[in-house]
Parts: sequence; C-alpha cells; structure tokens
Amino acid sequence: MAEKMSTSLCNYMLGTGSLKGAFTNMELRLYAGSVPATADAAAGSTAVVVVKNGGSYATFGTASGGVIGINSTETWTGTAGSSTTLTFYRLVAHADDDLTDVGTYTRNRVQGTIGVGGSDMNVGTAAVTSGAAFTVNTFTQAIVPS
Amino acid sequence: MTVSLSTGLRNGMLNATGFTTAFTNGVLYIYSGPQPLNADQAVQGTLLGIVTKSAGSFSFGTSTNGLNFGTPAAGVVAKDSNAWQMVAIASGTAGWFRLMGNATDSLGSSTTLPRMDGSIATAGGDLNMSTVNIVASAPTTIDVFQFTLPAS
Repeated sequence: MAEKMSTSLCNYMLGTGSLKGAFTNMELRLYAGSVPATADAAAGSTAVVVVKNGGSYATFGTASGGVIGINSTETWTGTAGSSTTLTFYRLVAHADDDLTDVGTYTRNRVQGTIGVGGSDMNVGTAAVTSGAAFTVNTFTQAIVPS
Repeated sequence: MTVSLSTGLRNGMLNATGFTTAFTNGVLYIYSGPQPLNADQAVQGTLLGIVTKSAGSFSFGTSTNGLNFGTPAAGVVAKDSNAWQMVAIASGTAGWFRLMGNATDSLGSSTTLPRMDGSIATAGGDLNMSTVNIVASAPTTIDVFQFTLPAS
C-alpha cells in the first residue's frame, strides 16, 4: 500500500509551501482499526499513540536527494494509550481534529499503513501495550523523480 | 517516458518551496529527440523554441515574460490565464520539454535547480500538442499545461 497525501497537502505543495512547512507543529499519530480510504477521510478513532519530540512537536530535518527525514536533533517517542494492534499512521498538524476534510481542504495529512513488513511503516511488532513507550527511529518522506 | 522532477525541485518541495513558487516567472524549452534520463541531466537534442508569456523575450533572472501557474485545486495546478507561446527557433520534431524556474539555468547538469522534463506527442505524451512538427519562425501556443501531485 502506498502512502496517501490529503488534498490540502497536495494543494499546499503545488502552491507556495513545502512538506516541511506544512508540518511545523507536527505529530505522528498511530491508530488501530480500519485504514481510511483516503487521507481526507476521518481517522475513525482516536490515536493510540501520539509521537512527538518528547514534549515538543516533531520537525523534519533538511531534505537531500529528494528525501527528508526526522530532524537529527530529535527523538520521536510516544506512549501507547491502550493495548491493541497498530494498523495505520497519520502525519498531522497538532490542531488536526481527525475529522473528514472536504470542501475547504484545510488539513494537511500524510497517511500510511503500519505492519511488520511490506507496509509504509515497518515495525518490530504492531502490537502495543498500554503505557509502553513507542519510539520511531527512522521516518522519511520522498518525492520520487518520475 | 514520464514526467521527471529534478532533485532541486524535489528538495525544494520538501524543504521550503512549493511547485508554483519554484517555477515563478519560469520558462519552457522545447527540444527534439528523446528527453534525458532525468531532469538533473544536461539538455539534449535541438532547441526548437522557447515558450514564454505571449512569446515575449525572456532572460533568466528577470521576471519579464516569465511563465506562471494559477492556484492549485484538487491536487492539480495549471498554467495561468496568460498566453504561453513561442516562435520556433528551428524546424524539427518536438520530442520533449524542460520547464525551468527564473534562476539562471545553464542547461547543464544540476542537482539544485528546479526543473521538470516531460515527453511531447500529439497524444499520450506528458505534453500533447496538435502537431509535433515545428517549423522555424512559426508560432506555437500551449493551451493546456498542468501538473498533478498524486494523493498516493
């Protein structure tokens, strides 16, 4: 499955903004349950884990070779709010309300699947335990050349 | 061949600059032959024409007669309402285009400049023209030029 970008984010990057600029107050939210069909759709549930740079919002580093990743000065971590199996993630602004984005297209989002292999985000195990820490060691975004 | 985005453009869209901004007051070159392997490479083929606003004279670093895009919607951005035109420099068969920004582009290899390459055909190309047979001194107008950032 390929990552999906919201319409708002596509419009933003086609206009005057960048991916990094779209996510200055960024959270990486990890969810359980059915994966929404598009990044414009509602998340369908509250995030199980909200990954940030400790108590601060996460940020990207500087792109090179068409790829951008975690700011090297940051540690992206979160805590599982329940015991469940993670299925998808969303990169969102802190203010994102997880609701459907139609008409005005104001919610910049990147959505992808979570699994132990062959997913957009590959993890050692997708099962999390309530209260356990979750650390993201590598997270990159790319614009393919063609 | 598909549309090719340069490393400079891709880094810009990730770091600080949107597509429209990257190509503000830009220019579109039309060449014969096949397009380069990627948009970081030097141009190849014969330069058949330079598309500018109303086919006016263009110089890198100066906004006069540069090309611009409109406001993106639904993940698509298209040329603005100005006429994108050229008067052919040479005769030949159009094979590919390179869209460049306003910063000086020497047309050589670059990993920093914003560029977008694509094929030209009468159908099924990245840029479709009513004819690919370009005749020196003849005018050509680009009626439709748009780029989509796919949601997935």
